[in-house]
Amino acid sequence: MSGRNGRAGRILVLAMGNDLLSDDGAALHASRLLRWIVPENVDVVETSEAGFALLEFLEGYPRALILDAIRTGKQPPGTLLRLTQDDFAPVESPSPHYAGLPDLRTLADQNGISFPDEVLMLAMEVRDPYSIGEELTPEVSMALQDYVRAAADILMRWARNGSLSHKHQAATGRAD
Amino acid sequence: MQEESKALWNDAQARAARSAMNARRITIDPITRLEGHGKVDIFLNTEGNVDRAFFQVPELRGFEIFSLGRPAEDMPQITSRICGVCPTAHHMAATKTLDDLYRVEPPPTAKKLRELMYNIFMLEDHALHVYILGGPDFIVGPEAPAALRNVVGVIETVGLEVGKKVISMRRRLRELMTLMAGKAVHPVFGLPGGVSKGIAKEDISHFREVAQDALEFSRFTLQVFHDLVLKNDDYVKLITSDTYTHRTYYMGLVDENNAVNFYDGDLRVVDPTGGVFARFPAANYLDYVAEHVEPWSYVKFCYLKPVGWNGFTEGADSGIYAVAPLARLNAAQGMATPEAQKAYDEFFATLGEPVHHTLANHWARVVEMLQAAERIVELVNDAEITGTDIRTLPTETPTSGIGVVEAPRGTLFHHYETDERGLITKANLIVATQNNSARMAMSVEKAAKDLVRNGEVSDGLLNKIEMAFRAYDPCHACATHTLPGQMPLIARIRGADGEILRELRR
Repeated sequence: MSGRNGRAGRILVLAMGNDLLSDDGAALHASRLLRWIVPENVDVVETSEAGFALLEFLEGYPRALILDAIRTGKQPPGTLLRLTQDDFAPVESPSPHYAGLPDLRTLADQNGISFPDEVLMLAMEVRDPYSIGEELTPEVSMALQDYVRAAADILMRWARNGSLSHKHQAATGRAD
Repeated sequence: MQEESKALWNDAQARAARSAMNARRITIDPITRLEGHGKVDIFLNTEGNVDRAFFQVPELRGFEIFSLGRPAEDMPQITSRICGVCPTAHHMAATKTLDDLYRVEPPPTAKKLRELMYNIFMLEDHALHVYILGGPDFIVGPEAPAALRNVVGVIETVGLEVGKKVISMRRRLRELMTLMAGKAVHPVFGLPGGVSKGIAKEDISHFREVAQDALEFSRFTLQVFHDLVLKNDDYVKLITSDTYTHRTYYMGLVDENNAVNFYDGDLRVVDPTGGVFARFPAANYLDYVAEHVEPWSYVKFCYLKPVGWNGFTEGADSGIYAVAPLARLNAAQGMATPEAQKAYDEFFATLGEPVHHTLANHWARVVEMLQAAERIVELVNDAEITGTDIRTLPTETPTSGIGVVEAPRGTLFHHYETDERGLITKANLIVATQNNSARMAMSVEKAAKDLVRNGEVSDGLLNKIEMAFRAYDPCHACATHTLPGQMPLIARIRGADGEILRELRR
């Protein structure tokens, strides 16, 4: 079985987060702007789901760009991080509710499910993904435009059939 | 590009500011912090042995305060965003609370549609747990190497064909839910007095086909459980071992025949001998459920009010109770469908009645899958399911509403009070994990007592604690949607004065 109908040749933008948890919703906010300016062959999808449910979103797309909030505490809030699949170690968590990207790929490979060849994550370092509320913190809010622009750049490059699979660890910088 | 996105951004901001909804809201924001970690605190006495231990459960007070001033009809959407794991349970509890708030009775078709949606959700969620979440403990085995104790190991054990079956069944069930509730991130389905959308006559044959396959799949799952778990003496020994056994009260929803019901009915409570202790409608929950607060924690522990709080102790004098699949089977007198009833009889014939073994939750979950599937088949073959009368319009002025459902993880209460415009003035949510919190604390404590002696902490501590709480499938939810999936378990060992002696994490 290979993939879901109509996804071949398309690009998925999967925006993850919970927009009731302040900065945790950063990617969702970005995707709501991004969806207006993406090329025609891009599907922008929002989700608050976790773990294995995400397999169904990714299945069948050859390429996926994942947007998410991240809190490493190592960069100032608003910094963008590009992560590839190599950056994620399999998760050992107390509940497989919290399956990670490598687990999903392994599961897909094992079961003959078509999984994107290229998965890139564009994550924004946030200040506060824990407080209950709909507002983003000021730093994250200010950086939202850059987030949208950086995501759009990646999609444009993909649309021209370029590849971004080489690893970028470094931040692309904050607002000018 | 920059100018374009700036313009879009400004436009979006302006529209948000103009929105009429905004004008009605009083938002106090942000309110409180929410921790998504699994946190265990183990308190030692002066000799260095375990005095007590507890497992931190989610604190929902922030969401309750967040909802103040918002229109009650937003609650099915707001509360379904609490948790990335079981949004449908909150959505349905909120919807039923709105029925009660507006004193409106949904038409029969609407009730059946809701029940159908809910049973599909229950089956899909239970299947996930049996094969993927609990599977590593039972299908692969608790002693298997860590590298295999995951879904990949489960599929290697049950076979690739089974793996494909599980994944495709879940997907098809989720597609049915999308057909019913739309393609939204969270269900847009329940409305006070009914539902937003019915099932078209031309779509029902597809529902019937999936339903029949789902029933086959549930039968097959029971068989897998038999072959891999019940035929293995070591597993059965583990299930019935003292570490995972607590003699407590049990609570669950039952129908008019005292059979298990996930969507509706009265709450029935049995005592540790299995005798009926109470049967009450959700509206009276405050007479039965109280919350105990320990001075050393902000976590609230639910207990039965008429029995009272008697510390973290077992038996009839302690008000501690459990919810979730095992509790539902204990609290009911049977299942609502024939094949599930057979499986129920075997369950109790094997383990005695009531069953106090926490790890038997996994088996109980399989019994419930069968009931959910049988009920789905019944509902999609019911002539009324394609009816078009799906909503009774509310006309009453709202004041207060209480609703309950059985979430996959146990009883879920919603309770709202509003002003005459229907704006929330008070909200109280009790989720399954809170109902179970005292019993879970006892499970963690038992595991800790085995593995912490005279200040020495054995390495297997985290594993054993995980086994104990995974059976409850506690939902620490909320902040943990991320694909990298970091969800650290932190165990803190504290001395007699509360100082942290050691911290274990993974």
